[in-house]
Amino acid sequence: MEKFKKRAVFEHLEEMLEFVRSYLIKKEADKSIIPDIILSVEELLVNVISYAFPEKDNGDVEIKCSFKNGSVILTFIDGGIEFDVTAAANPDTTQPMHERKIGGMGIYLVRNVVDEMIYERRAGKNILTIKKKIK
Amino acid sequence: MSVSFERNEEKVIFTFDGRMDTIKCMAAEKDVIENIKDEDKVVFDLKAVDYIASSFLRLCGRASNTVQPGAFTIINVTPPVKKVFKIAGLADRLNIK
Repeated sequence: MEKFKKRAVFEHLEEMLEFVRSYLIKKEADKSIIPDIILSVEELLVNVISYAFPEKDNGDVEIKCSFKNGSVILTFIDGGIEFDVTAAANPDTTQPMHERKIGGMGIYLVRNVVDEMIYERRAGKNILTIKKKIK
Repeated sequence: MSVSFERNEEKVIFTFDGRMDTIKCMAAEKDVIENIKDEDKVVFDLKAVDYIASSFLRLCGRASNTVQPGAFTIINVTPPVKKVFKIAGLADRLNIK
């Protein structure tokens, strides 16, 4: 398993994406799959950066990467407010854009490109795991 | 620069470049919206774009809602970008050519 921890701010976003990208390349992920995973990671991190710490300075977010049975498993851990991404309602994709909820579209994209998404709240932390077959 | 634009008598064309991720979209949004308010026709040219995040979908939505119905067009969409529009259910709702 590889881990990476950084303060959850936009200034660190590209560095965090690069960490995941490097891991996927190291595990010889199918090149056509990598953009889907990077999109998912970006959307989830942007959510943490934007909404997890509404009343105080942004804390850290940790990313753990592992690989099992042809799938990459990515876990995101933050100490922000409780937010179960997996329970968020899907946007109504038949609605015009301006009537859609802000933020809902990113999670919807993630849900549609990953194979599995699991949320836990433990010891005051949001723990979100996504899995995606990469070979 | 991730976006450049040129204006002629009948339309304004924005040409985006590379990865339109969250940070680039945040930087481009104000410029784009301010420059389309009084335009009759607005075109987003995505021929050099190979990645978009949901923030780009939102930018398209804002642009589409700022101008008259039918006045906003997206052209030269590459396959990986079209895939994201499709998942979002926007491939048929925005004027993509």
